[in-house]
Amino acid sequence: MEWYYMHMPISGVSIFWPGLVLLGFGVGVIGGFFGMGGGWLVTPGLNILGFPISFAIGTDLAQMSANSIVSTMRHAKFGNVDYKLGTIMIVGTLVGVEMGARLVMYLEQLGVVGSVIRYCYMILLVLISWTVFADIAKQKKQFVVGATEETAVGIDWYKRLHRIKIPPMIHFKTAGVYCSLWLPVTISFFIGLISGTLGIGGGLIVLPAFIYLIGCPTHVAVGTSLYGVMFSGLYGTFTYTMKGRTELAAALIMILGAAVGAQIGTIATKYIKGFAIKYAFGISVIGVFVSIFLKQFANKFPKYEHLLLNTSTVIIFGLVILLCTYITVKMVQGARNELRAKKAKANLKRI
Amino acid sequence: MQTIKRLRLVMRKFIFFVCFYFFFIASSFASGGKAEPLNFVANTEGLSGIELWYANLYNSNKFYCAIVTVIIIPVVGFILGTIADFIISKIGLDLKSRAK
Repeated sequence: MEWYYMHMPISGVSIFWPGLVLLGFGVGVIGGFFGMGGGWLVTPGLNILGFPISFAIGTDLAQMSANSIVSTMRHAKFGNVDYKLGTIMIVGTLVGVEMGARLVMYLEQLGVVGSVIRYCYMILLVLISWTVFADIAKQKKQFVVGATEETAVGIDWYKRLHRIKIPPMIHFKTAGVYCSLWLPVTISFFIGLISGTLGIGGGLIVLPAFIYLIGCPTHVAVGTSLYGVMFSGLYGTFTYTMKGRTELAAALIMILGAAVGAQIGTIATKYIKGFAIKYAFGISVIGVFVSIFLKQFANKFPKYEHLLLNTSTVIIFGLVILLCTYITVKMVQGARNELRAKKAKANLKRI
Repeated sequence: MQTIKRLRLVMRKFIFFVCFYFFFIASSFASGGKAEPLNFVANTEGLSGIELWYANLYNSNKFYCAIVTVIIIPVVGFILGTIADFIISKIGLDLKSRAK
């Protein structure tokens, strides 16, 4: 076997390990930036690298929990984490994740897990990208009447949900939200269910849910989301390992790349603001959708199957590389400007 | 009364979404009968040291294996995160506030 291939003892597949490091780094950058574990990229990414889908989910959850620990540590220092909201969300999410994992095991017994998960993924991705772009469009419409990027209001479903005042009511200080306790509990249960079924820590759903359904400011949504993903990822790891579907060696290789990437992604949130984040998020969701779509329908066109599968791989890794480059460049530019400003200030003081 | 009406409306939308989501899972059930759960056995051939120990643990007791995994993952994450944090803090950036 070539040196760049590593044998995975549990799943029995040989994996291109530099691909794991690259995927880990990429998901660290993207996850730290968008406030998610990055499972929406890792599960299809690992599947494309050669892992069976249930192993891709288990391994993904394992690396995701470590990745979100690194990012949460950094976000906590920025004061971006609402611990009360995050802790409440954990309870509902854990119950949902367990139900989702059991559903995957059942689907695996039926032999339909791969296609069902890919279909559900596609539906979810379409819904999320539609929400993000509808939000941008709504905000941009208000520019005509003189609103700015800061004052324009996007999708505000949370305002309607906050009117439901079923006791006990609760105040989340850091997020600046006052609502019924049942709102985050119910939302988190369904986030857990979806994340347990699809193998995503929940960040992909948590981030829009925090912003559009609970009404959190974006930076608090990012930090709190990662705090929740950390626990749901760990629980997901436990339950998937119990079912024998985690490849620890692969997860540890990915964490090496993710630890560095998560720092870059998290610090980049300091310098990149406004529509740029939403556009980048929306475009990446569409990219993942196209990639999964091609993979799902490749076997329907035997003549072009190879081409479609290769295109799917190129899209997913191209997306990781493009987003990583964008976030890293912006982070380096921002850091350089900050250091220059600091230096200039110090020089002025000396004068 | 209005709150109840609003609640009903939200519940209706919510139930629709859940049904829509599970429709795709349920539709797949028609495709085949239930099979036995798949059990994987780790191949220990050519393994040594920690890898061999972990693979044996996986084969012998999934519960202990899950406990060990859940301990290893955050510990490794914390250690690597602390190291990366230390290195980044040496650059001289303000890492405590969001303001530029």
